[in-house]
Amino acid sequence: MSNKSENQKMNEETVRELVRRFKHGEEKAYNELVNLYKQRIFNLVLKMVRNREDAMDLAQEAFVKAYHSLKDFREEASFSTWLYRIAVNLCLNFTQRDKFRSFILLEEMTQPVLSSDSPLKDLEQKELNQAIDRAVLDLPGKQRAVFILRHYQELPHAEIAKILDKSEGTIKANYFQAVKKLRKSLAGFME
Amino acid sequence: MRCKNIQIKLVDYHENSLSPEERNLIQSHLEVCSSCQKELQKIISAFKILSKESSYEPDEAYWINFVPGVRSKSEKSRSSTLVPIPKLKIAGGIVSLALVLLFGIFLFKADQRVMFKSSEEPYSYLLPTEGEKIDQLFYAETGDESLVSKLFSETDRDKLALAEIELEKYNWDKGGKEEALEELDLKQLENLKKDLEKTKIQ
Repeated sequence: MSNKSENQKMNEETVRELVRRFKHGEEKAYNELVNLYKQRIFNLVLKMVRNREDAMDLAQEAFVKAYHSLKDFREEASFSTWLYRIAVNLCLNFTQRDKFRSFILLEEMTQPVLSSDSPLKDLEQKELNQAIDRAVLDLPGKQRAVFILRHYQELPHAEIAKILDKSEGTIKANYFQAVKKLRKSLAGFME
Repeated sequence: MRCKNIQIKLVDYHENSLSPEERNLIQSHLEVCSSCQKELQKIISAFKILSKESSYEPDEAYWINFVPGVRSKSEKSRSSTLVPIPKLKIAGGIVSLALVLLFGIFLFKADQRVMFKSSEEPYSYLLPTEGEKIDQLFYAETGDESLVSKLFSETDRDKLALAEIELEKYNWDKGGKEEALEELDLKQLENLKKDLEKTKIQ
């Protein structure tokens, strides 16, 4: 067995143990679960809603929802699959509800621009960030989720299928469609 | 393999997530097909653009306060979920009313769908409302997502996306094909597509 899969197995064991301890009333175990997953969930949420302030709130909100449901979690899927599902659904509901607001905010803040020596470069980078934000937000919800889980979180199709409760074929079709649309939306930036 | 079938797999090819056999098949095709080579170049460019996106990391204070924030929000929402009984009654009434309305809308919408004149199965779940051009609705061909989303549910659109792939006799891989077959009645969808094509010709 490779080191990577050994580590993965060990992590899964640790997570299962933490879930078990929480279910037996050890509240502190949940803090450890949050610490293990907070970075990944924040990154996922940020890419889904494309807005820093909202992402900061929603990432915490995902853990609040998970906290209230964890006692009923039947461990048919892994904890991470289950948590990702909560976060994705939260983001999809949020962007559906607040789509108009998200677009207004995009104009003002969205992704930060790394300060460089060249203001022109900064401006170009800002335009590029905004174009990517718009292109991703324009994707239909499920295609967006599939694209982000695959491209940014680098999850295998099979894992994404479990998170979104779809077949692997559906996920592949959605990913293909998402890339096709992004390619069209970003055509103006291509060399 | 036809170009369309190759192009569906170019993203996976670019990500190096194909089986060696499929990879070789696509590689051989790319060596002789300039159109697919161009497609691949466009995909590579799109991913190159996406990789230029700035990243963002919240400051340390956010991470330090993350767990306490989750704990305090959890406590707050736990206390706010303890709804007094009269409020529950009102909420129950609203939910019942919403359910009745939803059921009404469902009946109304179901009524608007056209039953397809097929020799085998009624395909009403995949068909447009009356008066729309059928050839605008098979999104595999039109790409008009907004129109399609108005007329098809998300589940139906998934089926159509899969149908597009499967009807071209395209095999993702053995596992993927088996999974798709669990969700789809391919014979039924093949018949549907044939019927749609006939309708277009008329």
